Amino acid sequence: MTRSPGVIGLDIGSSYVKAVSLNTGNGIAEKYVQKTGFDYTSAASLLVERFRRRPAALGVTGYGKNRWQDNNISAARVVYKTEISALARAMNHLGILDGTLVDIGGQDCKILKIKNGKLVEHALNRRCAAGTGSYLEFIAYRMDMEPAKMNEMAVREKEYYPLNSFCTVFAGTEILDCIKKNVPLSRLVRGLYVSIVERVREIAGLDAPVFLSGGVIAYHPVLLEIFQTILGKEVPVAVVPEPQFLAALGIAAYAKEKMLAPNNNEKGEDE
Amino acid sequence: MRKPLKTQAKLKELLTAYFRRFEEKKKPVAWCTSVGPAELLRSFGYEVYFPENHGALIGARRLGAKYIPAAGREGFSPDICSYLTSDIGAYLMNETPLDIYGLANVPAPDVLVYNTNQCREVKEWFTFYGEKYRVPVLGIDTPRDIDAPTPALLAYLEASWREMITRLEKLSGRSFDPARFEEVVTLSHRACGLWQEFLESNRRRPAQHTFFDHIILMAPVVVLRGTREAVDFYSDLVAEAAAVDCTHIKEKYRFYWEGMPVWGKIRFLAELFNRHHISIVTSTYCHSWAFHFDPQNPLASSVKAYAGIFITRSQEYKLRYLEDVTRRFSIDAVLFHDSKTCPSNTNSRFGIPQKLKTTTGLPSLTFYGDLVDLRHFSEEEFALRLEAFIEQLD
Ligand code: SF4
Repeated sequence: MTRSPGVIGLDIGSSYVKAVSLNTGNGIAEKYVQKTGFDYTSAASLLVERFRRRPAALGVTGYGKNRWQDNNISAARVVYKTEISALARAMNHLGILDGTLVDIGGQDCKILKIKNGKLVEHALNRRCAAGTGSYLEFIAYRMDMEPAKMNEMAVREKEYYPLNSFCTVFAGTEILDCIKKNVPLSRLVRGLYVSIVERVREIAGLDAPVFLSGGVIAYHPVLLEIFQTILGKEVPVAVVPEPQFLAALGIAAYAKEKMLAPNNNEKGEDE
Repeated sequence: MRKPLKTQAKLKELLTAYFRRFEEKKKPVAWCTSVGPAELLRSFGYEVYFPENHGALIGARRLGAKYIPAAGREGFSPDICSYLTSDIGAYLMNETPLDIYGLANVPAPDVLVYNTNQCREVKEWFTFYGEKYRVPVLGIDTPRDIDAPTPALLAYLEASWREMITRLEKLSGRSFDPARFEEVVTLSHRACGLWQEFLESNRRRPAQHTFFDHIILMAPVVVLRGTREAVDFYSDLVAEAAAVDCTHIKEKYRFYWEGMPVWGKIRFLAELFNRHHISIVTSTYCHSWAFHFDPQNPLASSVKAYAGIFITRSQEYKLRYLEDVTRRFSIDAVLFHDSKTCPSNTNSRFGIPQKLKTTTGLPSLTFYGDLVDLRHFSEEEFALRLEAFIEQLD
């Protein structure tokens, strides 16, 4: 099968690889996601293979970006950028020119402040991964519960039990202790989400309006409501479209720009 | 990449000679903190040894993870100064990286002398050895977070120095020799002046050398200040630096380094910044040994110099200092090292980066690491933070 060329954005994260292709209107044509596993190079290659169109231009971002390359595509058509730049670019692409983006991924949390369409500041979580996707995964494992179930439980519960531990492993122990003391499980689960929001708020101030992205938001949508409750009415909070694919979209936009740049003499057409 | 300066090749010989003198055991040995009264000790005829230099060597040889747990078993938390914990751990395990200079053990002290101008940790550290070696521990207890040394403070400190002189006279069996002290202070003053001149030569664009050279080249101004060898070394260095042509170096950004070095990652960091065409032009750390003494007033000026160093000053002073030095060196951005085990040399925790941004417009990047304990530093994370920061500057 010959595939016509397209623009693909690839986000090789620590937990998941995400990829999107752009349609002619610069929206997302196709999107795929898969677990990164131990071999993110092959995970990324497999994902690129799934697109109906072969890549004429490729944008690569994420934790694994520096170690992956596609031998079928010339270097002139590949662009590498950090997730920070990719996310900022995607916000522009979506026409969001002012506000704060909170992106919660598998092992880190990023905060980007955007003013007049420009990235003016960014901050990342400190050292450890508490308050990120791995944190939730670990606790879900300790409690033997699916993420969807955790989300559902927290949606129905309006009270929460505050968790104090900074450390993921200790938080797990703290929860088990609370269960023994008959604290309702749903309050603990909601408390877990609250602690994630509180950790985010510790990293940097969140200027209105606030936008949420990343895999954690995609699988735990209750976080939107919790962010909104904690930040109050004056700070509108919204989830961006396709939150898990935001960085992939941004890097795809970069790739397209590079392909169309006048000094790039390689055309993005089928030879 | 910049070539190392030729003078650097003389370091090995200089330091070997320095460490060898301890083996000869001709003179009594005093241990001293890195910004302690080294000149005074030399004037009394002591050979001066610096445990912090030992800690840095342990760090550079990446032996921290081996030694720190041993100190933990003795009750020293891994959260405190990793110079201290790795040095004490090495002692408890009866090892030393000084083997590269032909020493099987660190030189045993006859007296231990600290100054708390840098931190209180040094007092605990020296007290530990005072008990182990059963030798006296003398100290100058300088208060910290001061705006400027006031006359009252200087009077108190001078009294401490005088008391120390009296005790050193008893211990060494010699009387204080003002002429010899003046001579040593003069030599120190000259070495420090030359060191500063060398650092200031980097105000040129592109920078001729970087922070990663400085932390190697600073060894003599730390361990040999007050000697003729240090003066000669820095005279050569200044002369060579003035003649170096670096016009071929591509310098996209000029960064300032605030905080401790990450001793075990010098090569990684030097190469990473080089790849990004960033010169780390200068640092607070290396400037800390650019003391100004007044050879006409050796005692009063020593008291003042050691009381006025950056690390002992208030947040307000530090902010003004950073405003000035970053302007002088045409800095584009500041790196703050949040060093897990050295709060005293970490200046990003009370809002200085934000204030500096307001007053100068300078962007900054705070990264997490440590001087010796590499468990607190991740190459991946650092490279990502740096890359994102550069993309934002571009
Ligand atoms: S200033 Fe920091 S690194 Fe130096 S001795 Fe004190 S705690 Fe240790």
